[in-house]
Amino acid sequence: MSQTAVNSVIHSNTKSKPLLFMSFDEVYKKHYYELRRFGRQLNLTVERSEDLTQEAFLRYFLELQKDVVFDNPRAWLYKVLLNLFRADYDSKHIEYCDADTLACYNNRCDDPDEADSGVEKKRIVNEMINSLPKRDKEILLLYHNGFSYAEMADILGINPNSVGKTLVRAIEKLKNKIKTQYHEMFEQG
Amino acid sequence: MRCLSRVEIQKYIDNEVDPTVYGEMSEHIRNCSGCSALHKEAIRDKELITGFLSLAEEQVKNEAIPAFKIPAEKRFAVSYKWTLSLLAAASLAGLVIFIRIDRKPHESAIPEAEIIKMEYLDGNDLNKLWHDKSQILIIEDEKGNVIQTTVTY
Repeated sequence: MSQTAVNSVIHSNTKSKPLLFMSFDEVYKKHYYELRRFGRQLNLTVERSEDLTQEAFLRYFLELQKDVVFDNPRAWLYKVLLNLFRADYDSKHIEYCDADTLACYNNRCDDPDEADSGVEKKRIVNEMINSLPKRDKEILLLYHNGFSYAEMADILGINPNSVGKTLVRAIEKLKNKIKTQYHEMFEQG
Repeated sequence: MRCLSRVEIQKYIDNEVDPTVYGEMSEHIRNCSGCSALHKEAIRDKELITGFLSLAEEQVKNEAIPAFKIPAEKRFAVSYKWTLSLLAAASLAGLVIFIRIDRKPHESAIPEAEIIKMEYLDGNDLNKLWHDKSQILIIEDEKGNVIQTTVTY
């Protein structure tokens, strides 16, 4: 699929409404949690993740004010959130989730043992994901969130033909890390 | 069909291959031991990665979605655009009116030189016009010395 075609999948400026047009409120309710979760997967703090999620929705809202019609608002919102994250990262204003924040967040869990175990596993997962190159980390998270190759190409701004190769390379890297470092732990889990 | 690469296998398990070749690939994977092993490995990798990443997912327990709020500065930014456009249009209209009001009709006398110029442009002889319409005023003293000369129209 060409880049132009991919763009038209995600973002259409045409005035004709798509078949399943969703209002802003519907999009907000449907995608708020998963977008916030994506921020958390990028290792942002809960607060920063919520801020960036709100910012992404605000931009979506402002685009709607300009009569822009979106065929795929979900992918567009992920793209905006990822760009906001990158801007944060580049300007060093990023607020990463530290161990205390993570523990605090997981204290919502009722069972203390389960909570401790969960915190430890999350810490390991975050550590391993963040040890990967930025592009590998992003493509794995998008893949995990169920995006198609065309959508991933548009969100990441890469050639659609190279998505498969980039994805396989990222999977191999993460798999090797898991197998060499934490294999036993996840075999039990 | 030739053997499949790891990337092609990945696309196959992710349903990212052309539907026309999907059946052909399925058949090849069934019959080729190498590709079959690669296919199983790709599925295992996918499960491993999915399971691994799922561990870090947060659980949402009956949390209310926070209300969407437009920050004041953004609200201002939206209205600011329209306000600015209106102000620009009003200023332009005011400027046009001001210029039109300031312009006076040509009721006052047109200078003679302008009349000569217009007549010349109409095709009359400039020298003749000059002699007909101008006067040279020469001021002399008692001894006949010229003190001042003035051309009047």
